[in-house]
Amino acid sequence: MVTTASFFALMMVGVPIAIVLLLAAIVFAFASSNPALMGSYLQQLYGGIDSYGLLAFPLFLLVGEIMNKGGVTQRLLDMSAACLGPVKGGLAYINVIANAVLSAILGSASAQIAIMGRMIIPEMVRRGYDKPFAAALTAVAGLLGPIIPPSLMFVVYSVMTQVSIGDMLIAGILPGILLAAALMGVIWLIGFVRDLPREPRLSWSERGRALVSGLPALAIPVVMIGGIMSGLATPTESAALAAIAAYVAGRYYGQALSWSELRLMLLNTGLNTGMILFLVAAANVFTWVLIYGNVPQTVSSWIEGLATGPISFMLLVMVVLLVIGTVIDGVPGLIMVVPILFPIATQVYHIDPVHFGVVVCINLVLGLVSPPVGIALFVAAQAAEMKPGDIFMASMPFCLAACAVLVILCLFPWFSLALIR
Amino acid sequence: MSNIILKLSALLSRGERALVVAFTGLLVLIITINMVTRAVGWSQYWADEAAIQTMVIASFAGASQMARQRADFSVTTLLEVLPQPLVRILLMLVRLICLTLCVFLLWLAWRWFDPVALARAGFDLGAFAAATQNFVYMEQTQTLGIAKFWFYLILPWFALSMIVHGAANLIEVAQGKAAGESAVRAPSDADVALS
Repeated sequence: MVTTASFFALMMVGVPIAIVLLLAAIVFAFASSNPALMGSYLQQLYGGIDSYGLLAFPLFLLVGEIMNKGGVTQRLLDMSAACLGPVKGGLAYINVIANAVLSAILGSASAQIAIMGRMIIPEMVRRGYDKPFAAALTAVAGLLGPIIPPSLMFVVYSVMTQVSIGDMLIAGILPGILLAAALMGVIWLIGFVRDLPREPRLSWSERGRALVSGLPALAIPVVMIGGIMSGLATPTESAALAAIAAYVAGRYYGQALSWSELRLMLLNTGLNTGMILFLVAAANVFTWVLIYGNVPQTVSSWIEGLATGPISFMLLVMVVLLVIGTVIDGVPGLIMVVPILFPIATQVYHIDPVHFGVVVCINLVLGLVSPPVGIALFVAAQAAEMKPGDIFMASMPFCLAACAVLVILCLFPWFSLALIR
Repeated sequence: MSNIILKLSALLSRGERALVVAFTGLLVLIITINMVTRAVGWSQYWADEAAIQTMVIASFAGASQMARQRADFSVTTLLEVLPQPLVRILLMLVRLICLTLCVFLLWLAWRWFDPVALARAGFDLGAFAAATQNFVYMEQTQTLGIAKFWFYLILPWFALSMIVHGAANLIEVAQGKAAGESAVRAPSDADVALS
């Protein structure tokens, strides 16, 4: 009780979440008369990130850093346009397709929205789309980033739960495609109700040039996903290969890295890795104390009274996570809920750990477009030079479609498990 | 006094940034070497563990830097609705809480490494372990052939560095330099990279 109260009080006044987790662990240890736990506190902090699986994390970030350098996004947009042809609302579909491909290079929604937003929102507005629609679509399509592999959230989930990272990453492919299809369905419906601009018809030679130009960027997902799916490389090795592929693709596009650029990329990668892995380390201390105090068992018996089966449990989890997602971002949210919910899901309701991970991650990802925190809305608003609130209403149809996808994923584990079973 | 802390924090920041760049680069290098040598059938058994320890050290140094930049994840909902004078008080409270935890972490590190008992045991690691039942100096890495405590030393460093950065953050909030962080905050580079 004291721990729960201090946990929420500290969090709500704005104490960094990693610090909240570390403090809550201390409060719990003393409140439950187990101060001896402090003897292993630092060892648990260190041990939380002393893990081979997490090596993929900085490498995925580095791939993103290298590809962020520019050039790739425009080529992906051109390639998507070449594939699509002159359909109504063409640029909106291109937005989703390019986001899906970019998701296979980057592992984070906000990075993707920041990059895509700068490129495609002004272009969509110039072609006659209204600004809130363009920004909202870009924000929601950016959610594909943490779903389609490589996904930083999936790596964190895997390390926390000891689930195979390769399985988790591959499990995100079909749900990602399903979400992309749902977003395109919404565009089609909107195009049915009101007029959306058409793209100009491209000649076959223009299409060919665009496709060839985009191919080197595709080498990265091919290397990464192919390496993992074929079993030839671990996710960490695949990420390292992808970093090399990203460098080679960058050279192909005429972007040789200078020392100062490389230094900046390594710094950004290291700082961002540090921030997130400190959170993972703090979560490890918190989880260790919770397990010591039998908290998952206590919560489990409480939840069992509310949810009678796996479906009702998953639906309950979905509602809770949607609420949590409104105030807490993806990875921190994951770190806070997984230690408690994972044992209940897998041991009490016998839900497949990979399926549970996919649903939980996508659930939390949706929080990125929900106010008041909604980082995705902030980033898209920044790119579109608008207020986040203006985008929110326009994003509603897409958010509802994403919620429908989430329910489908929840009810049909096949989508998460088909590629790994 | 406040100037000294701010200067010390800036100095530490420079060192930590250099460490982060060097260790992140080293990490990529080790993994690449491991991949190449494994592909040619000359596997380097130490590489995985070396890469992990490199990542851990870079992570704690990076986390300390991000704390200095106040780029850590937090729930800012309350800060966005409160009036400015209250926000400043709340921010000072938050920074004070962070600082207190870091002092506690440093105390835990002092207890864990127990340099006084180690000196009393004549720096004999075996005698220290027997006398205190604390095996921190006895733990070995699996493949690197060096004692694990050399890597664990990043923890007291991290706690100390977080104290300096925490104090610097507190001073800045008290001086009103960081009041802007409370407003509806645009995402930082860190937010952008990680969400």
